[in-house]
Amino acid sequence: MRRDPWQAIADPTRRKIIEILTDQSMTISDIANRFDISRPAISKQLKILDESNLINITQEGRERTCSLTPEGLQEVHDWVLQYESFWMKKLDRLDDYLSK
Amino acid sequence: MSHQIEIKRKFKYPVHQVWGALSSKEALSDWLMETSDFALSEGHQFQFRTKPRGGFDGVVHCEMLEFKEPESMKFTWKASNWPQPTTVVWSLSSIGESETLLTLSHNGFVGINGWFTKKMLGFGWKNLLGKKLENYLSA
Repeated sequence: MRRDPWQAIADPTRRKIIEILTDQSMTISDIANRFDISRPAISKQLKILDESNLINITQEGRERTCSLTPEGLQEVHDWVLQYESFWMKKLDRLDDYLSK
Repeated sequence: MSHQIEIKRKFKYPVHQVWGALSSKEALSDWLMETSDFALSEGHQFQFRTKPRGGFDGVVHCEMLEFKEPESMKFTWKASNWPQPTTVVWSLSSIGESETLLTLSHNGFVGINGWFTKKMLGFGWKNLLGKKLENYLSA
């Protein structure tokens, strides 16, 4: 399943998870220890981040490790650049409209 | 860190004419995006519609915050899949009698992209970003 990254970052817990993963990759247990919510609840949030392509979960021995994914982050970041281009094009159209 | 888009553009038309193109739903539907309920009224909610793509259903939800004819207009701008609204501000000023300087500011990305930008830079992605940006600009 492919999710919308915007919705993934709309949630404060998921943003906090991304925040702590910017420093280093972490196991699910380590992440869960940073929060006051249950491990299943954290796992559910991680699943959403994984499905949004924002994080990668890999099995290492008995533990599963989470790390940030470049592509997913890039997609969200590119957005402002695209929006600037959107407005430039629209202003060209405004000029066309005015010249009618 | 917040991110803001600011674009200045000079038009060879008087202020009232540019204002007209920004404040009528027929004009906006022609050059910006289809709208059937835009109105110059504070607190009024309206929508723009475009083609759906990705996680975006093509609807932008807006609310008129304030306007001062024919100088400025400020409204919220929230694509259906964004967690929170951004703000669009148009500012118009006369250059002589027959030209207009239009400034568009689109801001309020603090909670969305600004936050993300900060995280990404913290993650050490400046090089990747630079490369992507270069590709984007040369596209």
